[in-house]
Amino acid sequence: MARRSTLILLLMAAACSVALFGVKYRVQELETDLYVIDRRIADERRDINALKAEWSHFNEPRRLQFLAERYLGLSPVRPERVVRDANMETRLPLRPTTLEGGEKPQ
Amino acid sequence: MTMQRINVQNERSPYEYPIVETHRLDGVGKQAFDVGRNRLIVAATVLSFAFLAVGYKLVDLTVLSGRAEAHFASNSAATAPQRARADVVDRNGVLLATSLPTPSLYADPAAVLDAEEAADKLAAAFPDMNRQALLTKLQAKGRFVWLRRNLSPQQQYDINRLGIPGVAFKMENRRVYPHGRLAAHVLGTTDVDGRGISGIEKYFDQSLLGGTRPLALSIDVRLQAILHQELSHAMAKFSAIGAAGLMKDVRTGEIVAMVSLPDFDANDKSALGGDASFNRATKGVYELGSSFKLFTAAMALDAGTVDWDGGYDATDPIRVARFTINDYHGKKRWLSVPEIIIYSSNIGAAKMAVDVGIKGQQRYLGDFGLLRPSAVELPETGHPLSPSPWREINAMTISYGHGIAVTPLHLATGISALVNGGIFRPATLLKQSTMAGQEIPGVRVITASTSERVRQLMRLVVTQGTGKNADAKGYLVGGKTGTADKQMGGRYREKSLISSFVAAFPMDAPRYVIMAMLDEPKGIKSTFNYATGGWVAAPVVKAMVERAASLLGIAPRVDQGEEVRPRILEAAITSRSAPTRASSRSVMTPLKVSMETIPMAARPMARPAVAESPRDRVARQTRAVLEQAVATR
Repeated sequence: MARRSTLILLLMAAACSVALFGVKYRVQELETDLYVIDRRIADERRDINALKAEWSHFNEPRRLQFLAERYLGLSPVRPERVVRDANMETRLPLRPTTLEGGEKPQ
Repeated sequence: MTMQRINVQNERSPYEYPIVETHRLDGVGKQAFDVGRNRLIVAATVLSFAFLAVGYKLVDLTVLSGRAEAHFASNSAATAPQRARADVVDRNGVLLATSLPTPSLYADPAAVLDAEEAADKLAAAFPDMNRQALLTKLQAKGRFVWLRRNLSPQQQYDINRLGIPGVAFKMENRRVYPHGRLAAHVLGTTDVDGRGISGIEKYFDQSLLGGTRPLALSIDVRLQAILHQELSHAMAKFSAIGAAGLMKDVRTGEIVAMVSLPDFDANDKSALGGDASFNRATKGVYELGSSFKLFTAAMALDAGTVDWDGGYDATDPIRVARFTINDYHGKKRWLSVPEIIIYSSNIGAAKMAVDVGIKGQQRYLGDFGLLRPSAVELPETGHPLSPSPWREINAMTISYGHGIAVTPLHLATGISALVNGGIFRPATLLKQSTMAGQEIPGVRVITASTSERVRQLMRLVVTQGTGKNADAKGYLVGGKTGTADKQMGGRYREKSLISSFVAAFPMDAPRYVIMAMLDEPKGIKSTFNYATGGWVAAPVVKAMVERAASLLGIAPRVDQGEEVRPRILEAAITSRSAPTRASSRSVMTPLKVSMETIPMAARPMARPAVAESPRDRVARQTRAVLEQAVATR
């Protein structure tokens, strides 16, 4: 009886140590992974910061204006280009006048 | 004897403790054995407690505290704040200043094998560096010397390729300003160690160093860019030595754009210092001239010393002691209050101020914030110069802006209080977050009805007076010109002027105050050699209003008669009855919507330049306009 329990305990101890080693190496592995991932996150963050700065730089209003004027033929909005919808029909006849009142166009 | 017995037992089984056998012992042997047994029990108890404790801790760590891993993960190196200095962004979140890690080159002179050769190589890599200076550094005593801070990646690559022993890199945070000189005087600069030395960088140095959240300014880069462009243009056109301008929200006190020229690029440390780093908008104090007549009129109307219908005789110049006060565009007759402002009569303004009195004038000017440094968040704030003692002659000259020197920011802040219904709010460079309908607290300095009168005066100046060049059609601009001779060593110099224009728009419910000032502009042919505020500064304000209004969602109000009709449509329109204003809704974003609530797509400047051909764009816009028009019919 005593011998058997001793044997079982021994086996358990052996199993425990094997498991412990396994866990230990697994943890080490994970810590290495974590370190690598941390490094990569930090690198990505740095890159994101640099890219944000670059994005802001390339979106500088004067640069956009230059590009828009040069390649799109755009220019700043003139006040007379802005129309309220109440005044819309003075600018845009939406249908031929003949359809509206039955009168003929002059 | 005992030992022997135990040994016999051991032969049977090495692990079974011979407890049964001990009963046979007696005398001294039994006693010794009991002591041993007791000690063993004590030791065993202590050890089992220790093992129990270890066991408990094991269970606790593995089973009970399930969130430990999450805690561990969230405290890893990657998430810890490692930014040297917080970012600065504009009111829409556009990055204005950030810190980026860049390599800096240093040498360990003890490890440098051949200083001569190393100096040759480095001097070849950096043509702007002196070989002799490099050599001195490389031969210095000690183990560390900076060679060059903040290199570009290309430079780092080049140096690495040279393979000089004893020379290495260290990562350092460098302050980067993506917009260069655009808001240079607002942002200020940092030194090579990342400490703020001017502007916002200095004023908020501590909170930027400790903070991780970006600092949001009230500046809008789009408006800043427009103001910068228009002012630079005017400065070059009139060969001025400097210029300053700013745009302010009259309801919150926020400065949405502020430019001082000449300026500098904070990314180029070598270009700092001198006239370029002087902030004319907040640090420079100037006699700003006739714009002060608005303050004089406001205080006279508010104190009730003159009525709207009242006026003064401006036929003859005023002679006080050795001074003579005269008018530039003299009418030589009695002038009403509006006429005094429209024709910019010094005589009228002086008489108005005398009636208000010295004490009254001091109190009102103090209320308008013109006698103390501005509370704006910048270390560069100018102290206004006012006379002491303040005699009647001073009161007279101050009434038209001479004998008192303030910064352009002071003037804009004071005018904001005059036009916004009479409430003074200090100027700020920080974005103010207010709920809808909530107002920034302020101090009432004049009554709402006086403010209404001042707005009418300002509008009259633009429609009929000296400010016609600022009339941006549809935006109801109101303003006042100011032209003053510069004082040099106690004497006024003719021909060197400070010409300015201060305006607000739209005048029926002002949203923004704009101030433009040119330092020593020269008249040109197209201005008939005039270099006065109405000729050089007013056009800047006009351009600024026209370009900024559509960004800000302020629709132009064009009367039916003034509408520009495409000629081709004329025939179609004339046969129809006059259009009715069925809906007051506008194509533009309604006036009441604040900047923040306008979606990005509605802001023309923020829209990225996409690969859409001009023809497609026009077609799409036309379609959208038509659809909207149909929907409202």
